[in-house]
Amino acid sequence: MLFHSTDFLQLFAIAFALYWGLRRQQHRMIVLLLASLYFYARWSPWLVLLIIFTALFDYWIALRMDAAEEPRRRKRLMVISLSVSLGLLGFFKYTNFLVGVAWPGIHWLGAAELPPEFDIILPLGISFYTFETISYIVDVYKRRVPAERKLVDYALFLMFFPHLVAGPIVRPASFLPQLQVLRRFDWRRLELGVRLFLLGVVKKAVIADNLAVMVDPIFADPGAYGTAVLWAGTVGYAIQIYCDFSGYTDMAIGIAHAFGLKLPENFNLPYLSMNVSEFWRRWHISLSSWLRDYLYIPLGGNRGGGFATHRNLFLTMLLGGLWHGAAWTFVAWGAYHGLLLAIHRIIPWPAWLAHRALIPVRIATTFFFVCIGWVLFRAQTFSDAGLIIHRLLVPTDGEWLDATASASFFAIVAVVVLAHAVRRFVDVERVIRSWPAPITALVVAVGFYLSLLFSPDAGGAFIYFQF
Amino acid sequence: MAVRLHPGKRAARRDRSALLLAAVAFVALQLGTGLWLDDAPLRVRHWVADAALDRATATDPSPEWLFFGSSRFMAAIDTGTLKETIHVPTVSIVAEGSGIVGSAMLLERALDRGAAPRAVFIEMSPEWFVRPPRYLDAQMVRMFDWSDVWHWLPELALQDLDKTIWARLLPSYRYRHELLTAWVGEEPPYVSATLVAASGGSAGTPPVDPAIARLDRGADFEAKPEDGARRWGKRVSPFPISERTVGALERALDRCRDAGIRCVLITPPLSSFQRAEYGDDVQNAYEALFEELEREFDAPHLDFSASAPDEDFLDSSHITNDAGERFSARIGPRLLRAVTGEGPTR
Repeated sequence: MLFHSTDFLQLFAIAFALYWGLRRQQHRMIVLLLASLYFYARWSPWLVLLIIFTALFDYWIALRMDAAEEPRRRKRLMVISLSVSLGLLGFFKYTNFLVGVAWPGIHWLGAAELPPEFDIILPLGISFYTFETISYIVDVYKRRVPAERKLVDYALFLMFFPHLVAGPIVRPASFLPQLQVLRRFDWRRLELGVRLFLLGVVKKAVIADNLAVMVDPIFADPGAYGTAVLWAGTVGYAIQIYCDFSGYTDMAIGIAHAFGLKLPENFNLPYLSMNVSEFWRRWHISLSSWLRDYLYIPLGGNRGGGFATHRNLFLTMLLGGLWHGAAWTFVAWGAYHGLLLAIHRIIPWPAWLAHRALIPVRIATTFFFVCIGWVLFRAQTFSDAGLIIHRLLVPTDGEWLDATASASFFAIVAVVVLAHAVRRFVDVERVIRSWPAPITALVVAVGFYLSLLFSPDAGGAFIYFQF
Repeated sequence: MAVRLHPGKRAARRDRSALLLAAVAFVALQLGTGLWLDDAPLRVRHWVADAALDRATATDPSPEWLFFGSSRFMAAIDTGTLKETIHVPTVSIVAEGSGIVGSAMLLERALDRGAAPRAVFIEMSPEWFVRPPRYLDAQMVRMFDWSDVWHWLPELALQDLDKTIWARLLPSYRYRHELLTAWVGEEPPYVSATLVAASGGSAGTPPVDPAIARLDRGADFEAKPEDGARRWGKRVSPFPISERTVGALERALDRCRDAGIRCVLITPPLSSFQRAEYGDDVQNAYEALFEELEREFDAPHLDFSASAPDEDFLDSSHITNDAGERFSARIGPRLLRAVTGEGPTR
């Protein structure tokens, strides 16, 4: 169920009316939980049982862990929980991949030449809610947060429908306390939510989906195109994935605001980053901070000196890449970023590079390397990725986009660049707040109207739903 | 970028005003767009129906016989064969895919536009009479203005109301291709891309008019006369007759009578599987409908439901092109007799 669909809007309208119509906090939480279960069950009534199982199991484990005093017992409970969570994620997401990896050895022992393909459905959002439940269990183990006593609240932490299928990845310390507070309806929060939702719809339906119409054919047959078109496709994909994912996040945060709840920010103008390290502080912030807190630091972080730090960075990014999908291209993408981060740390950058005049060059250079990474991320195969990267770097002739597609592409890129510049130099929130209510109303109404008008047929699921 | 809420009751009042005004403005924009579409030529919103009406109202030569019906008529009636068989100069199919209500509406629109055929043939079938009439929410809603929606609201409410809501209350989404094409003068690029994928043609090529494209017996053709029979059977069991559908038909027949146009009602071929679904009760009630129509409007009913063998069917209600040619050659003389009133029609 997409956020910008009638089905969802109906669900939202009912949940919204019931939620604010009820006086008791626990009743409101039950409404949100039922809405979340329905939201998930609309995709798969059977696999909703899996997330219910995960919620019940980790709720129970956390209570047991909280009650246990003996460190070994607490650790044993945490290991059991992590094993189950990662085991489920591994089974549903990585079985075919792992069998493929192991198959040369199995074939050597006498099995058939080609590995079997298991028909396993990837449960929607499993990568996201697995990380959320892991952070909860680890935080309870480390006594950063107490075990949640209310099952409904814990289940809602995991299943709250705005963040259920593609994040942002919420942390128990920031989200669970919000569920305890009985809130009063707040027009300011609703107005903010509506504006964020509109921003998300524009990013997703108008920009990302329209770019997909142009980008998909280029990546489907990269050999047909020359350098210029492949650059257009690569830059187009960079904008597409950003608008698709950050658009989803904006909608999710906006919907949560409508219920008086706050989800963490996930993006902060990542393409204006001046180096790769900064990029990862601005891109998919909830994932990169999760990886930092629950993988990089437990691996040793930067405590073990230069080599260990670089190794930990590299491993973290490698696993981060694998988290995105069970394919070697994702692993390579993660490794590529791990390598970039390590190189960024190793090189003693001269001080003059920090000069203001060089900021555009640094931004452009970072964007260039990020785009090369997106080729690995988006290409179907390594040979496609190799071909595209080669042609990006070595001028090559090939087919051109037709005039209309080119015009659409440049128009969209111009709008996105302009929007970034405005966000960078203008306090947009302050400007909007200075408008009289009728102007804001007109902008919102026309914005929704135009978003509907410019939504292509091809618009579909969000890219990050597959992860 | 984290956004902080502005404190104070004044900010809350301003935001409440902004949201309420935005809702009003959004609804006004949508309603305005809908009214603009209602006023725009039919080709903007429903170019297939508009093309069908163009065929019905063509001049030089103008069609003498017009067939109004669904894809079943498209499958069964081969205009070329009919012309050769009975030497009627021009025959056109005005198919719309929405049963009797759609046929009656198109017939009235054709007469409004000045069509003056000698004879009109309207497709009949038991399921087209069932309450509520099907497909009003599909193609027909594209032709509706607010008065039509109001008139058919009881029926629309019993169908997928979502489609009507999208069409009437959110036209900037439902008719986005049509609006952009009409306003800009050319299709938006994503529409071109969609059409290229669908038709295998080049960008900008319109899709094939379903009223012209006949159902082809391809190399891998396999007759499936049972396909859909059960589904259609469920729709006529029980068989509550929609008086408003009958009323729409009577209104169209009345106009034809006033204009001196001969009307003939035709049940096209149906597979044995579909006919078996009807049962005696449905069949008797269905036939009884025509006695009154024939008496009041002098509109004979020709039942060709058992006129094609099962191996000719693509599914339970559509025959192939080849079968359509044979069927058209066979029924030509009977249609001619029904129009001229000479000799037995049954």
